[in-house]
Amino acid sequence: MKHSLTARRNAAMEAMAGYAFILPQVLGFILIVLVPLINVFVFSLHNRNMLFGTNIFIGLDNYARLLTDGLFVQSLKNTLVFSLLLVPINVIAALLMALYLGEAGFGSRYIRAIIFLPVVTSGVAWAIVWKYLLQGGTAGPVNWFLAQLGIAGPNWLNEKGWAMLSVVFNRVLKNLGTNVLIFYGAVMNMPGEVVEAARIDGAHGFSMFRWIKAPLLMPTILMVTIVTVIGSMRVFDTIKLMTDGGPEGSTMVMVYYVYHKAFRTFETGYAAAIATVLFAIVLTLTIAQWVLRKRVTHYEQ
Amino acid sequence: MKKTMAILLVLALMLPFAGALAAEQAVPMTIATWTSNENQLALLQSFVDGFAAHKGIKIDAKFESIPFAEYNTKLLLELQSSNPPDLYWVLETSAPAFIASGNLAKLDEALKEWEPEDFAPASLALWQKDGSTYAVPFSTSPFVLLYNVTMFKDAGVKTPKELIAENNWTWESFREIAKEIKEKTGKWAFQTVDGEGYTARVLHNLLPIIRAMGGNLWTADGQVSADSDVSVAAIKLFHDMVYADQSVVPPGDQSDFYTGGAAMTVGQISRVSKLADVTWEWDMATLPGNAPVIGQAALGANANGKNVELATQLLAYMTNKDSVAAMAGIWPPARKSVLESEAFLSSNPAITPEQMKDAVAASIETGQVLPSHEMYPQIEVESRILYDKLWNAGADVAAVMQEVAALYRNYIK
Amino acid sequence: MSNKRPLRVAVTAAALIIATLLFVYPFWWMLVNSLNTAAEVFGPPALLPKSWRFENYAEIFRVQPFARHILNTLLVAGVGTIGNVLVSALSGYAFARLRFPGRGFLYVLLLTALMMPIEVIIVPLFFQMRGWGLSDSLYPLMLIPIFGAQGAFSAFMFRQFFLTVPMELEEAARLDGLSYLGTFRHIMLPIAKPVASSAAILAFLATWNTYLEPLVFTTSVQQYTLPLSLSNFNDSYGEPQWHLQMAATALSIIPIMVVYMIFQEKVRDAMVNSGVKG
Repeated sequence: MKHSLTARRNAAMEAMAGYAFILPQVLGFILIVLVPLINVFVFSLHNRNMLFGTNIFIGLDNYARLLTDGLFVQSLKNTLVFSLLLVPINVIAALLMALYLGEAGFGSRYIRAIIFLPVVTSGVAWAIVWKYLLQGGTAGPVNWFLAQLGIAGPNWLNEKGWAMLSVVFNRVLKNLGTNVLIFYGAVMNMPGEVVEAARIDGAHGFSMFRWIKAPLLMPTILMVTIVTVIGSMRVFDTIKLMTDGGPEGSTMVMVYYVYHKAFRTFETGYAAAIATVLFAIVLTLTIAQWVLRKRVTHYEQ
Repeated sequence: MKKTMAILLVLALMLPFAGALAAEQAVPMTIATWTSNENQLALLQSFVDGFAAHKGIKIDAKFESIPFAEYNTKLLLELQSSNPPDLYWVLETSAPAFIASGNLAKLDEALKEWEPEDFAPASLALWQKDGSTYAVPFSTSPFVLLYNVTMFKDAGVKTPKELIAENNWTWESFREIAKEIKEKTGKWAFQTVDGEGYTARVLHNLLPIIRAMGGNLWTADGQVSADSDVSVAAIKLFHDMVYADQSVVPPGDQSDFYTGGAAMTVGQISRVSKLADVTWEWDMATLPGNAPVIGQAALGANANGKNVELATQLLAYMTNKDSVAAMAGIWPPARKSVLESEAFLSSNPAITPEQMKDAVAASIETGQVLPSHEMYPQIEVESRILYDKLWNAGADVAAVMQEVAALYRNYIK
Repeated sequence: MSNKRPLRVAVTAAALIIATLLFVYPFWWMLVNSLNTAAEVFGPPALLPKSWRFENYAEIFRVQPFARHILNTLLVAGVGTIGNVLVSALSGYAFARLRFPGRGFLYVLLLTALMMPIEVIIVPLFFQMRGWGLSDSLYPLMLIPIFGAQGAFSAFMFRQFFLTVPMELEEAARLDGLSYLGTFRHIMLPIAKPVASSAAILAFLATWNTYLEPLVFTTSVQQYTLPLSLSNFNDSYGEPQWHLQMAATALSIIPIMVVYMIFQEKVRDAMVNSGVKG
């Protein structure tokens, strides 16, 4: 009897301590994340204009407007194109580099060090430098270099298509290092005896990769892919500084469109509606990731 | 002990009073600008001091420098904040929107003290609505042509000044000399205004050509003529310069007039300061075709500020004749008395009286501001995407301008 | 085998050259042009500066309140990082080791912050900060890394770590009469140093490099942080001053680079962890 009373008192004490320990974080989370998140939805149901000070409840009208807003549809498409370009390039390049580094060839320490330089650099600095390097004509160093090889480079940031590729390229270089190292870790953790056995059985080069290494690396590839997809939804500084969403709106992605609507044309209610759609997409991807991660860990065990 | 207590009590009772006294002694006034140049801010501070002396009060002025690139956004965010500016600079493109939104206080009462009739009526038009004035332009600065005389001499090409003397200063002759320079020197002949003529300043870039040829984009009474034949022809002329003649620094190339990368550019007299250290000879002229564009910047008072009346009075003082005369060398005046004065012509040490008269004063007389509209923020964002379609060699200028005009017509009625 | 040798050498050489061009040359180009005049920035790329204009580095402090920007960034990154680690270590420990009703629910709720891009909530957050009287100040920039996604991620890392710590340690401490806070402070926090350093590195890099938040939450040029300051190296009317911009960019990157060179392995470990975040 006495024992259980002490136990109960201890449990109460522990709970109190637990609440006290999480209080700062949970309180801050509610104020800085949860309340604004609820407000995004509330805002999206209003016609709010920061300049004119309007704030009128209009139900789902903002969402109806999304469907007829050509630029929104374009931004949705651009976001999709951006992700579809960035993710495969990033993942494949990272995987190839990790496999290369895994062979511990000459200079692999050097490469491991330098691919991380852009990762620790601010996206702003990286974008500013590349904006200059990618000038059109023969003015920019990239095109100057191509001209030495006899290639006339395009006007990278001012031609439709090329602009999107340039931005993707910039982001890939910026973040490649992280994915390379994740893959590198996975490559180094591959059971050596399996690989060795396969080699004795005659697996080399591509067949080795296709039948032995790829299946072993699959869980990591899946995780990296989804994390990269989610990250690709958030490209803001690169777009703002390199192309400002142009030319012809071809690099106007959703996050930048939110900013445009909220802080350039001051339609905060409408901007919130776009943000809500963005949230829905990220939420779906995140849930997919959790489900996938559960399956993968299950499979690993 | 009791005595001490009594003294303390008296002091304590006096404290709020002392506080009030101190507050009366120095009224805080926040002024938002996009300059962070110390000399310019010192000049503005001297006006504040002059006004304080004039009123016999103390003013504690705080200048808030908001970078130009994000000015409108940041200013608006600041106006929403708990401690908004009392006075602020207003960009011309946001004039109608700011007036319509009620962010600007009426100035009529305060202006009466300082001869408002001295302002050229055209210069105030943008800042008035229904007979009231909502902001006062402190700068009415025409866009003029700046050119590298040394490069012209090296190429052996007629300078704009010579063409003006021949009475042959049109956009067609401008195109010719540009082409010659490119052919003879291999260097760029023309950089658009601040290199932003394809993006942020596309209207500043195209409108002087369009207006010189008799076209327009839209007018104050809601007539859209961006797709008229003359407007299209004007844009085609510029398009040909970029893509056929290749005499203009193209989009995406950062070559720059001020560092010697192009022979000509368009700019305001504030840009002349960038030419202080150059090793080559430069000069300025009116833009070809005699349809100069004027850039205005105005000072407005926050209608929702803490001390609106005093703010409007300070504003009026800062734009009175003496203040305007003091600013004239940096920001050309809208007051006729200053514009016509000899002092104005020699107000900027880097610009000769002759240049000031022939290029600047002449352009102020005939110049027009950019067209504007209450919905300009939206119009700008959406039309930029359409204007982008102009900037490739095969662009169908007429078709693009039809799209632009259709967009304008959506908003401008 | 031997006929494959030259091919291998060629592939290696090509890989090294391309990697150097892509990952090192941009920085080199930046350094070179930070020592050029504005006019020398143009023209064919050179491997060395033309006029070695070291004044550029002095001039950036005259064009903008750049020293103030550095201080602002240090302050924001410092407070943000310390706050982030302290707050999340506490909650990470509690979520891992202390039993209390609603623990699972609160933890999952907190994890939703992880997937919340700041871009989604920035608009209402701006109005909220304004309501608190925090517009045009550095406080929002400090609060967001502590309580936003970065904070939740640190809590996640701490929790994962504390879950692996054997129970005996804590029980011994409790038997010695240490309070919960004492146990945390004297026993658990010291052994969590590796996680704390990872969390700190990530939080520091994130706050040092953040762009959207200062863009929205600061107004006057005195309140700018470095990334915003870099994008603002234009003359008073918006034309970029390339040579100064490059000098400023170099100056903002160098401290980070030095730290990275010293703590290479640690930084990479931290970043690799961040890649697998939830």
